[in-house]
Amino acid sequence: MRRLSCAAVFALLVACPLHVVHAQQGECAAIAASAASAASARPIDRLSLLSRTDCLGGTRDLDALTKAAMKVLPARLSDTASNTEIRLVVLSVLDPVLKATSRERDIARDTRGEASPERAMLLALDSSVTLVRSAVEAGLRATDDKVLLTGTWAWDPNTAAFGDLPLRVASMVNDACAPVTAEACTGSVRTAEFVLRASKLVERSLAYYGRPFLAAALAGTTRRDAQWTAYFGQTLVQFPWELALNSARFTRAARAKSGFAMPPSDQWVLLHPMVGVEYVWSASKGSRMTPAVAMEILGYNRWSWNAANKPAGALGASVVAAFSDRANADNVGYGLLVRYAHRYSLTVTSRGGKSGVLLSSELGTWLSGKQDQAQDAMRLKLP
Amino acid sequence: MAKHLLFLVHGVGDTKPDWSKPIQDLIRTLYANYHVAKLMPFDQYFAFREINYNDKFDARRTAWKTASTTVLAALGDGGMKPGAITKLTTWSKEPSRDDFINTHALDVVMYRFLSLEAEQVRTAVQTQILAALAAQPANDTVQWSVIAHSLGTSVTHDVLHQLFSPSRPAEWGALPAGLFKPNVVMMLANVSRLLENTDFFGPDGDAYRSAVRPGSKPSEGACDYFINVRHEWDPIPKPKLFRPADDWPSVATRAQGRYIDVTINAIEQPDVHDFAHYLRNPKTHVPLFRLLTVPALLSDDEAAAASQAYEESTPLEKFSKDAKRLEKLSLGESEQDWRNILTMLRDFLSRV
Repeated sequence: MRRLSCAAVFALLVACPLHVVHAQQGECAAIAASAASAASARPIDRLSLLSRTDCLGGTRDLDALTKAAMKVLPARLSDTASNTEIRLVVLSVLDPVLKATSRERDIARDTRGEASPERAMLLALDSSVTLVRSAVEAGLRATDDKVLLTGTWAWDPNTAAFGDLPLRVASMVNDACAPVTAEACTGSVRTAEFVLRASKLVERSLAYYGRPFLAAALAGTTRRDAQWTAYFGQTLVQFPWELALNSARFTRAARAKSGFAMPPSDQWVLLHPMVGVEYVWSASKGSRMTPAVAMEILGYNRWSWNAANKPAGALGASVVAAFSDRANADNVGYGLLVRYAHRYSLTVTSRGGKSGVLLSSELGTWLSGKQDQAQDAMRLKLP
Repeated sequence: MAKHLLFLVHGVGDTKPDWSKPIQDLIRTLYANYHVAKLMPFDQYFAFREINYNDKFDARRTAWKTASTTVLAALGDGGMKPGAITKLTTWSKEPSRDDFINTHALDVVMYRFLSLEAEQVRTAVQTQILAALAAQPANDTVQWSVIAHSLGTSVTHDVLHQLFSPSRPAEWGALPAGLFKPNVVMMLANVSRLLENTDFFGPDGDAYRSAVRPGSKPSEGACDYFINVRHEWDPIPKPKLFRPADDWPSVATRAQGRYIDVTINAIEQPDVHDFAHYLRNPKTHVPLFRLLTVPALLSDDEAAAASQAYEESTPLEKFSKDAKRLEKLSLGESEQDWRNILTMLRDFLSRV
């Protein structure tokens, strides 16, 4: 950051009386002085810079009002904070702002006159802050009234205006500061600084007030994200054509909800190649158990999402064509598959009247494990 | 202190975490060229947040490859070669080929036509954005903007629509635009119209009708300012070009200068679609820097000087061959035939 010597800052203050740098301290004084050195900058632009750099009600501001208002606003919203607690914190910020606004309004009346633009501005600010305070005290949600939106209070340097407040700060300053050396300019800029500072403090308190919305939205999207990860990672893998089929169904369902659809809890299976182990009782010895490749011609799986956002209780069924290379039995058989938990499937096949059973490789592995365990147990019992 | 967060959203390509580091460095360097950088040093006021979603496409390709390899291996073992299975599994293994061009083109197709895949991408991006916003101090306002490129413009469009549409259901967690919407949305090589999905979102998915628009009031729209940048020689955003009418999204909003349309044409390299190539042009980054700081502090004179210097360093005759080639590739603004669009995409990517 550009650092200016004390002499340079003093010189700028003398050269540019407006800059009301008197209100600024520390880091912000240097920023204000730097802004004053920018040839093209008008008073309103310098005020915008101070606002953008958090020097008016922001985190760099050392002003007493900012310190008083912000000392009660925690940087983290506790997960257990109740609406009442949040409301009380926000009211604790708004109260000193309201009090200071009333004081400034009276000062403006005494120094600038009853009908001065500065006093009118502070009156309007006073009434807007009062509105916010009443709305917060009444427990309105941030979406219930535009005055509770941070955007309403946000200063936009591009338009030199607030989001939606009836406070024409730029007009006030521009009028008073033509020319910039006019005596009225100093008072007008001072008032503008106060208005920008107070509005920023209100904006920050409302950001805190609206935080539960952000937390709720994040919780919702995190839940859906976990379900999507499980959808693709823990359900039956979908080949491109199956993904296209299920996407077409999902698109139809989503359209009915304007594009806001939860991850599906079912899937169609189509022409899905699979490998497994097939056992045909009536095949010749040595050829009964063989690796087999099958295709689920058409099937359907469904499940529900549990509290951990995992698919639970998944069941499915498919019509299957199984292929294997064996003696004394047709190489192609047809059958019905039932599936549990996406991975374990059992298919009863028929090959020219000869029955067989096709196990998914996962089920085969699981059963082999059980068989090994049983054999181990038997061996242990042998003398 | 809460910094203004700048989310960077990538386009198609083999992007991995940290993909945005060169873009971040570039933005810092460009910003440092202007006087406003002395008043608001970049790293004191801004912080980057990188968005990643390419891993979702990669995961799909890997899953297809693994499943196909298992089946094809079994076919080999058993001596069985049922034609249909072999064909299907071989075909489903194709997208995982280490083929840069096919990968790029396929991501676009997957995002546009496989809604399950697209929705996972959108949800992942929403989660990354909301997590970053929620990590900001609760006692300060949340300031954020998005810079998106190519496919990322469509993803960003859809994500912002889902975040700030009035149709967002309560169970998704209402997100008042007046509290949390981004300040600036910058779309580079905007393909949000080309990839808009009204089948999925209904009529509101139309890029001109969606929630993704600058609003003249805090509660309106999904951003305060919308900057749309198109390179005249870039053929990719040309089909179904994003070119809203003068009253989009409203006359009042346009009068406030909240929609900024930028057309650039200086060529610095053959890949005119490149993220960095867009950003380096002062006509692109000056409006962004102005909106992020105080517009009056980046003067017209300073902007004009930067633009002039850039254009002098990029004479068109140096790239006349590239310009001719790009002109040949270019499709009409009303082109909607996906075969032609994909052919153009593959041809363009194969030559850059």
